[in-house]
Amino acid sequence: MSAIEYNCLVVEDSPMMRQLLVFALSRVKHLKVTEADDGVDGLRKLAAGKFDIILTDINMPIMDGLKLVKRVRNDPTHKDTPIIIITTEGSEEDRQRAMQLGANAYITKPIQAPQVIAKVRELLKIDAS
Amino acid sequence: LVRAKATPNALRLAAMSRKPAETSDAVRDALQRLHRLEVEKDQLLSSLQDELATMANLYIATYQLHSTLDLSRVVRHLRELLGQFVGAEAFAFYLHDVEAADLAPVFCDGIELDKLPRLALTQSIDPKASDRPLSATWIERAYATGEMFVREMDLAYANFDAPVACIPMRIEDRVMGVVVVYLMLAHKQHLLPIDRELFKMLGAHAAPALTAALLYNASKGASSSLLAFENLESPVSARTIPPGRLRK
Repeated sequence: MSAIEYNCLVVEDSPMMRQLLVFALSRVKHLKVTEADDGVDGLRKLAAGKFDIILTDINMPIMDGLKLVKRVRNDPTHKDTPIIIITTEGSEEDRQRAMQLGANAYITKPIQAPQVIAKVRELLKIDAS
Repeated sequence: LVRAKATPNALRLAAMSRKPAETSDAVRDALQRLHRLEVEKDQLLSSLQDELATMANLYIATYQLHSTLDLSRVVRHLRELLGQFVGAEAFAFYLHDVEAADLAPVFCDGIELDKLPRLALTQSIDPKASDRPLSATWIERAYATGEMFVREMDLAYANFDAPVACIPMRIEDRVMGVVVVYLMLAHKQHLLPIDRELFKMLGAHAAPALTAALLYNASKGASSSLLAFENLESPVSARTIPPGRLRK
Protein backbone atom coordinates (compact mmCIF):
# COMPACT_ATOMS: atom_id res chain seq x y z
CA MET A 1 0.00 0.00 0.00
CA SER A 2 1.38 3.42 -0.92
CA ALA A 3 1.98 6.10 1.70
CA ILE A 4 -0.03 9.30 1.51
CA GLU A 5 2.23 12.22 0.67
CA TYR A 6 -0.24 14.97 -0.17
CA ASN A 7 -3.46 16.10 1.43
CA CYS A 8 -6.07 17.73 -0.76
CA LEU A 9 -9.21 19.56 0.34
CA VAL A 10 -12.17 19.69 -2.06
CA VAL A 11 -14.74 22.35 -1.15
CA GLU A 12 -17.87 21.90 -3.26
CA ASP A 13 -21.56 22.07 -2.33
CA SER A 14 -22.78 19.84 -5.17
CA PRO A 15 -22.54 16.18 -4.13
CA MET A 16 -22.49 15.18 -7.78
CA MET A 17 -19.56 17.44 -8.67
CA ARG A 18 -17.75 16.52 -5.46
CA GLN A 19 -17.98 12.84 -6.31
CA LEU A 20 -16.67 13.54 -9.82
CA LEU A 21 -13.71 15.52 -8.45
CA VAL A 22 -12.91 12.83 -5.89
CA PHE A 23 -13.01 10.23 -8.65
CA ALA A 24 -10.73 12.32 -10.89
CA LEU A 25 -8.29 12.97 -8.06
CA SER A 26 -8.15 9.28 -7.16
CA ARG A 27 -5.94 8.95 -10.24
CA VAL A 28 -3.26 11.13 -8.64
CA LYS A 29 -0.98 8.81 -6.69
CA HIS A 30 -0.27 9.45 -3.02
CA LEU A 31 -3.08 12.02 -2.75
CA LYS A 32 -5.60 11.86 0.07
CA VAL A 33 -8.79 13.82 -0.55
CA THR A 34 -10.91 15.39 2.18
CA GLU A 35 -14.34 16.77 1.27
CA ALA A 36 -16.11 19.89 2.54
CA ASP A 37 -19.52 21.08 1.39
CA ASP A 38 -19.14 24.85 1.78
CA GLY A 39 -16.63 27.51 2.79
CA VAL A 40 -17.30 27.26 6.52
CA ASP A 41 -16.95 23.48 6.47
CA GLY A 42 -13.78 23.99 4.46
CA LEU A 43 -12.30 26.35 7.07
CA ARG A 44 -13.21 23.88 9.80
CA LYS A 45 -11.34 21.11 8.02
CA LEU A 46 -8.38 23.40 7.31
CA ALA A 47 -8.17 24.24 11.01
CA ALA A 48 -8.05 20.54 11.86
CA GLY A 49 -5.20 19.58 9.55
CA LYS A 50 -2.53 20.58 7.10
CA PHE A 51 -3.41 20.54 3.42
CA ASP A 52 -1.10 20.70 0.42
CA ILE A 53 -3.69 21.85 -2.09
CA ILE A 54 -7.27 23.19 -2.05
CA LEU A 55 -9.88 22.92 -4.80
CA THR A 56 -12.92 25.11 -4.29
CA ASP A 57 -16.12 26.10 -6.04
CA ILE A 58 -17.19 29.78 -5.95
CA ASN A 59 -20.99 29.67 -5.63
CA MET A 60 -21.76 27.94 -2.37
CA PRO A 61 -24.18 28.58 0.49
CA ILE A 62 -23.04 29.96 3.87
CA MET A 63 -19.56 30.97 2.67
CA ASP A 64 -18.56 31.23 -0.97
CA GLY A 65 -15.26 30.20 -2.49
CA LEU A 66 -13.84 33.71 -2.86
CA LYS A 67 -14.32 34.44 0.85
CA LEU A 68 -12.65 31.12 1.54
CA VAL A 69 -9.64 32.09 -0.61
CA LYS A 70 -9.35 35.38 1.32
CA ARG A 71 -9.47 33.59 4.66
CA VAL A 72 -6.95 30.96 3.58
CA ARG A 73 -4.49 33.63 2.45
CA ASN A 74 -4.69 35.18 5.93
CA ASP A 75 -4.15 31.85 7.66
CA PRO A 76 -0.46 31.40 8.60
CA THR A 77 -0.67 27.61 8.16
CA HIS A 78 -2.16 27.68 4.67
CA LYS A 79 -1.22 31.09 3.27
CA ASP A 80 1.03 29.47 0.64
CA THR A 81 -1.18 26.47 -0.11
CA PRO A 82 -2.09 26.31 -3.82
CA ILE A 83 -5.77 26.96 -4.50
CA ILE A 84 -7.62 25.89 -7.64
CA ILE A 85 -10.99 27.52 -8.30
CA ILE A 86 -13.49 25.26 -10.07
CA THR A 87 -16.58 27.15 -11.10
CA THR A 88 -19.33 27.76 -13.66
CA GLU A 89 -18.40 31.47 -13.64
CA GLY A 90 -16.49 31.83 -16.87
CA SER A 91 -16.02 35.59 -17.31
CA GLU A 92 -12.57 37.16 -17.41
CA GLU A 93 -13.67 39.51 -14.63
CA ASP A 94 -14.46 36.58 -12.31
CA ARG A 95 -11.18 34.91 -13.18
CA GLN A 96 -9.15 38.03 -12.46
CA ARG A 97 -10.94 38.65 -9.19
CA ALA A 98 -10.18 35.12 -8.00
CA MET A 99 -6.54 35.37 -9.06
CA GLN A 100 -6.15 38.76 -7.36
CA LEU A 101 -7.50 37.28 -4.15
CA GLY A 102 -4.79 34.66 -4.28
CA ALA A 103 -6.06 31.69 -6.28
CA ASN A 104 -3.36 29.85 -8.24
CA ALA A 105 -5.52 28.41 -11.01
CA TYR A 106 -9.02 28.83 -12.40
CA ILE A 107 -10.91 26.01 -14.13
CA THR A 108 -14.43 26.39 -15.51
CA LYS A 109 -17.15 23.76 -15.30
CA PRO A 110 -18.03 21.44 -16.91
CA ILE A 111 -14.65 20.04 -15.96
CA GLN A 112 -12.43 17.77 -18.01
CA ALA A 113 -10.89 15.36 -15.50
CA PRO A 114 -7.45 15.25 -17.23
CA GLN A 115 -7.26 19.06 -17.01
CA VAL A 116 -7.93 19.02 -13.26
CA ILE A 117 -5.45 16.19 -12.70
CA ALA A 118 -2.77 17.98 -14.73
CA LYS A 119 -3.24 21.22 -12.77
CA VAL A 120 -3.07 19.43 -9.41
CA ARG A 121 0.11 17.62 -10.48
CA GLU A 122 1.61 20.86 -11.75
CA LEU A 123 0.92 22.78 -8.54
CA LEU A 124 2.12 19.94 -6.35
CA LYS A 125 5.10 19.39 -8.66
CA ILE A 126 4.25 15.72 -9.08
CA ASP A 127 5.72 13.91 -12.08
CA ALA A 128 2.93 12.50 -14.27
CA SER A 129 4.80 9.21 -14.68
CA LEU B 1 0.24 -3.40 -29.46
CA VAL B 2 1.67 -6.75 -30.52
CA ARG B 3 4.17 -4.91 -32.70
CA ALA B 4 5.27 -2.98 -29.65
CA LYS B 5 6.91 -6.20 -28.43
CA ALA B 6 9.63 -5.65 -31.06
CA THR B 7 11.59 -3.79 -28.40
CA PRO B 8 14.19 -1.14 -29.25
CA ASN B 9 16.92 -3.59 -28.11
CA ALA B 10 15.75 -6.36 -30.43
CA LEU B 11 15.54 -3.92 -33.32
CA ARG B 12 19.01 -2.62 -32.54
CA LEU B 13 20.52 -6.15 -32.51
CA ALA B 14 18.84 -7.01 -35.79
CA ALA B 15 20.17 -3.79 -37.31
CA MET B 16 23.75 -4.47 -36.10
CA SER B 17 23.87 -7.80 -37.97
CA ARG B 18 23.36 -6.05 -41.33
CA LYS B 19 25.69 -4.13 -43.65
CA PRO B 20 26.18 -0.36 -43.02
CA ALA B 21 23.77 0.88 -45.76
CA GLU B 22 21.17 -1.71 -44.84
CA THR B 23 21.75 -0.93 -41.19
CA SER B 24 21.05 2.76 -41.50
CA ASP B 25 17.87 2.03 -43.53
CA ALA B 26 16.79 -0.52 -40.99
CA VAL B 27 17.46 1.85 -38.11
CA ARG B 28 15.55 4.62 -39.84
CA ASP B 29 12.62 2.26 -40.51
CA ALA B 30 12.71 1.04 -36.96
CA LEU B 31 12.73 4.57 -35.58
CA GLN B 32 9.84 5.54 -37.84
CA ARG B 33 7.93 2.50 -36.71
CA LEU B 34 8.72 3.33 -33.12
CA HIS B 35 7.49 6.87 -33.63
CA ARG B 36 4.26 5.62 -35.20
CA LEU B 37 3.77 3.26 -32.25
CA GLU B 38 4.34 6.11 -29.80
CA VAL B 39 1.72 8.24 -31.60
CA GLU B 40 -0.68 5.29 -31.69
CA LYS B 41 -0.13 4.67 -27.97
CA ASP B 42 -0.76 8.35 -27.11
CA GLN B 43 -3.96 8.34 -29.17
CA LEU B 44 -5.12 5.13 -27.53
CA LEU B 45 -4.35 6.50 -24.07
CA SER B 46 -6.13 9.75 -24.81
CA SER B 47 -9.24 7.96 -26.12
CA LEU B 48 -9.19 5.64 -23.09
CA GLN B 49 -9.03 8.69 -20.81
CA ASP B 50 -12.01 10.23 -22.64
CA GLU B 51 -13.95 6.98 -22.35
CA LEU B 52 -13.14 6.75 -18.66
CA ALA B 53 -14.23 10.37 -18.11
CA THR B 54 -17.50 9.70 -19.94
CA MET B 55 -18.17 6.54 -17.93
CA ALA B 56 -17.36 8.36 -14.68
CA ASN B 57 -19.73 11.22 -15.52
CA LEU B 58 -22.55 8.85 -16.45
CA TYR B 59 -22.00 6.58 -13.46
CA ILE B 60 -21.87 9.42 -10.95
CA ALA B 61 -24.87 11.24 -12.43
CA THR B 62 -26.99 8.06 -12.47
CA TYR B 63 -25.82 7.00 -9.01
CA GLN B 64 -26.69 10.37 -7.45
CA LEU B 65 -30.01 10.63 -9.28
CA HIS B 66 -31.22 7.30 -7.89
CA SER B 67 -29.64 7.71 -4.47
CA THR B 68 -32.71 9.39 -3.01
CA LEU B 69 -36.53 9.35 -3.04
CA ASP B 70 -36.76 12.89 -1.76
CA LEU B 71 -38.27 15.05 -4.51
CA SER B 72 -36.28 18.17 -3.67
CA ARG B 73 -33.04 16.19 -3.83
CA VAL B 74 -33.95 14.56 -7.13
CA VAL B 75 -34.66 18.03 -8.51
CA ARG B 76 -31.38 19.30 -7.11
CA HIS B 77 -29.47 16.44 -8.74
CA LEU B 78 -31.16 17.10 -12.08
CA ARG B 79 -30.24 20.79 -11.82
CA GLU B 80 -26.64 19.93 -10.98
CA LEU B 81 -26.43 17.43 -13.78
CA LEU B 82 -27.46 20.01 -16.38
CA GLY B 83 -25.74 22.99 -14.79
CA GLN B 84 -22.43 21.49 -13.76
CA PHE B 85 -21.91 18.36 -15.87
CA VAL B 86 -23.34 19.66 -19.15
CA GLY B 87 -22.84 23.40 -18.63
CA ALA B 88 -26.44 24.47 -19.29
CA GLU B 89 -27.30 27.95 -18.06
CA ALA B 90 -31.03 28.06 -18.77
CA PHE B 91 -33.25 24.99 -18.85
CA ALA B 92 -36.70 23.77 -17.89
CA PHE B 93 -38.36 20.48 -17.06
CA TYR B 94 -41.84 19.99 -18.52
CA LEU B 95 -44.05 17.15 -17.28
CA HIS B 96 -47.28 15.84 -18.74
CA ASP B 97 -50.18 17.03 -16.63
CA VAL B 98 -52.77 14.32 -17.23
CA GLU B 99 -55.69 16.30 -15.80
CA ALA B 100 -55.02 19.45 -17.78
CA ALA B 101 -53.87 17.49 -20.84
CA ASP B 102 -50.88 19.70 -21.32
CA LEU B 103 -47.17 19.94 -20.66
CA ALA B 104 -46.48 21.95 -17.53
CA PRO B 105 -43.12 23.49 -16.63
CA VAL B 106 -42.37 22.18 -13.13
CA PHE B 107 -38.90 23.57 -12.41
CA CYS B 108 -36.20 25.45 -14.22
CA ASP B 109 -32.95 27.37 -13.91
CA GLY B 110 -31.83 30.60 -15.53
CA ILE B 111 -35.38 31.72 -16.28
CA GLU B 112 -38.45 32.43 -14.21
CA LEU B 113 -40.87 29.54 -14.02
CA ASP B 114 -43.96 31.73 -14.36
CA LYS B 115 -42.66 33.10 -17.65
CA LEU B 116 -42.72 29.63 -19.20
CA PRO B 117 -45.99 28.73 -20.95
CA ARG B 118 -47.94 25.55 -20.41
CA LEU B 119 -48.14 23.74 -23.71
CA ALA B 120 -51.48 22.28 -24.74
CA LEU B 121 -51.32 18.82 -26.24
CA THR B 122 -54.07 19.08 -28.82
CA GLN B 123 -54.03 18.41 -32.52
CA SER B 124 -55.81 21.68 -33.26
CA ILE B 125 -52.75 23.84 -32.74
CA ASP B 126 -51.27 25.17 -35.94
CA PRO B 127 -47.51 24.74 -35.52
CA LYS B 128 -46.95 27.41 -38.16
CA ALA B 129 -48.97 30.06 -36.35
CA SER B 130 -46.84 33.20 -36.32
CA ASP B 131 -47.45 34.01 -32.67
CA ARG B 132 -46.40 30.55 -31.59
CA PRO B 133 -42.83 30.24 -30.23
CA LEU B 134 -40.77 27.84 -32.28
CA SER B 135 -39.53 26.27 -29.07
CA ALA B 136 -43.10 25.18 -28.26
CA THR B 137 -43.25 23.26 -31.52
CA TRP B 138 -39.96 21.53 -30.78
CA ILE B 139 -40.98 20.65 -27.24
CA GLU B 140 -44.27 19.20 -28.45
CA ARG B 141 -42.51 17.33 -31.23
CA ALA B 142 -40.06 15.79 -28.78
CA TYR B 143 -42.98 14.79 -26.58
CA ALA B 144 -45.07 13.38 -29.44
CA THR B 145 -42.30 11.46 -31.20
CA GLY B 146 -40.20 10.53 -28.17
CA GLU B 147 -37.14 11.53 -30.13
CA MET B 148 -34.41 13.74 -28.75
CA PHE B 149 -33.85 16.94 -30.62
CA VAL B 150 -30.39 18.56 -30.47
CA ARG B 151 -29.59 21.61 -32.56
CA GLU B 152 -26.44 21.35 -34.60
CA MET B 153 -25.33 24.94 -34.42
CA ASP B 154 -23.08 27.47 -32.77
CA LEU B 155 -24.29 27.44 -29.17
CA ALA B 156 -23.92 31.22 -29.00
CA TYR B 157 -27.03 31.52 -31.22
CA ALA B 158 -29.26 29.49 -28.94
CA ASN B 159 -32.08 31.42 -27.28
CA PHE B 160 -35.53 31.07 -25.80
CA ASP B 161 -37.11 30.52 -29.22
CA ALA B 162 -34.38 28.26 -30.52
CA PRO B 163 -33.27 25.98 -27.70
CA VAL B 164 -30.16 23.84 -27.73
CA ALA B 165 -31.98 20.59 -27.00
CA CYS B 166 -35.37 19.06 -26.27
CA ILE B 167 -35.01 15.70 -24.53
CA PRO B 168 -38.05 13.48 -24.05
CA MET B 169 -38.12 11.86 -20.60
CA ARG B 170 -39.31 8.28 -20.82
CA ILE B 171 -40.34 5.40 -18.68
CA GLU B 172 -39.98 2.48 -21.05
CA ASP B 173 -42.02 3.50 -24.13
CA ARG B 174 -44.07 6.14 -22.40
CA VAL B 175 -42.95 9.75 -22.66
CA MET B 176 -43.58 11.56 -19.37
CA GLY B 177 -42.24 14.99 -20.23
CA VAL B 178 -39.51 16.97 -21.91
CA VAL B 179 -36.30 18.61 -20.72
CA VAL B 180 -35.61 21.81 -22.63
CA VAL B 181 -32.10 23.27 -22.65
CA TYR B 182 -32.42 26.88 -23.78
CA LEU B 183 -28.93 28.21 -23.25
CA MET B 184 -25.44 27.03 -22.41
CA LEU B 185 -22.88 28.81 -20.23
CA ALA B 186 -21.19 31.55 -22.25
CA HIS B 187 -17.79 29.84 -22.14
CA LYS B 188 -19.22 26.55 -23.43
CA GLN B 189 -19.07 26.86 -27.20
CA HIS B 190 -19.66 23.31 -28.42
CA LEU B 191 -21.57 20.23 -27.39
CA LEU B 192 -19.25 17.31 -26.83
CA PRO B 193 -19.99 13.59 -27.29
CA ILE B 194 -20.24 13.31 -23.51
CA ASP B 195 -23.05 15.93 -23.47
CA ARG B 196 -25.10 13.81 -25.85
CA GLU B 197 -24.50 10.78 -23.63
CA LEU B 198 -25.67 12.79 -20.62
CA PHE B 199 -28.77 13.89 -22.56
CA LYS B 200 -29.54 10.23 -23.35
CA MET B 201 -29.01 9.30 -19.72
CA LEU B 202 -31.34 12.11 -18.67
CA GLY B 203 -33.97 10.88 -21.15
CA ALA B 204 -33.85 7.40 -19.63
CA HIS B 205 -33.39 8.19 -15.93
CA ALA B 206 -35.00 11.55 -15.11
CA ALA B 207 -38.62 10.40 -15.40
CA PRO B 208 -38.19 7.21 -13.28
CA ALA B 209 -36.38 9.24 -10.60
CA LEU B 210 -39.07 11.97 -10.56
CA THR B 211 -41.93 9.47 -10.63
CA ALA B 212 -40.44 7.40 -7.79
CA ALA B 213 -40.01 10.56 -5.72
CA LEU B 214 -43.61 11.66 -6.41
CA LEU B 215 -44.93 8.22 -5.42
CA TYR B 216 -42.81 8.28 -2.27
CA ASN B 217 -44.27 11.73 -1.53
CA ALA B 218 -47.76 10.24 -1.86
CA SER B 219 -46.87 7.35 0.46
CA LYS B 220 -46.15 9.95 3.16
CA GLY B 221 -49.53 11.58 2.61
CA ALA B 222 -48.18 14.44 0.51
CA SER B 223 -49.13 15.25 -3.04
CA SER B 224 -48.15 12.96 -5.88
CA SER B 225 -49.34 15.41 -8.51
CA LEU B 226 -47.36 18.17 -10.14
CA LEU B 227 -48.44 20.44 -7.25
CA ALA B 228 -45.66 18.76 -5.25
CA PHE B 229 -43.15 20.82 -7.20
CA GLU B 230 -44.69 24.05 -5.92
CA ASN B 231 -43.69 23.21 -2.37
CA LEU B 232 -40.03 22.80 -3.16
CA GLU B 233 -37.56 25.27 -1.76
CA SER B 234 -35.98 27.68 -4.21
CA PRO B 235 -32.71 26.29 -5.47
CA VAL B 236 -29.55 27.85 -4.10
CA SER B 237 -28.04 28.07 -7.55
CA ALA B 238 -31.05 29.61 -9.30
CA ARG B 239 -30.20 32.76 -11.14
CA THR B 240 -31.69 34.70 -13.95
CA ILE B 241 -29.96 35.30 -17.23
CA PRO B 242 -29.46 38.94 -18.28
CA PRO B 243 -32.23 39.84 -20.78
CA GLY B 244 -29.81 40.27 -23.69
CA ARG B 245 -28.79 36.63 -23.54
CA LEU B 246 -32.29 35.21 -23.80
CA ARG B 247 -33.81 36.77 -26.86
CA LYS B 248 -37.46 36.20 -27.33
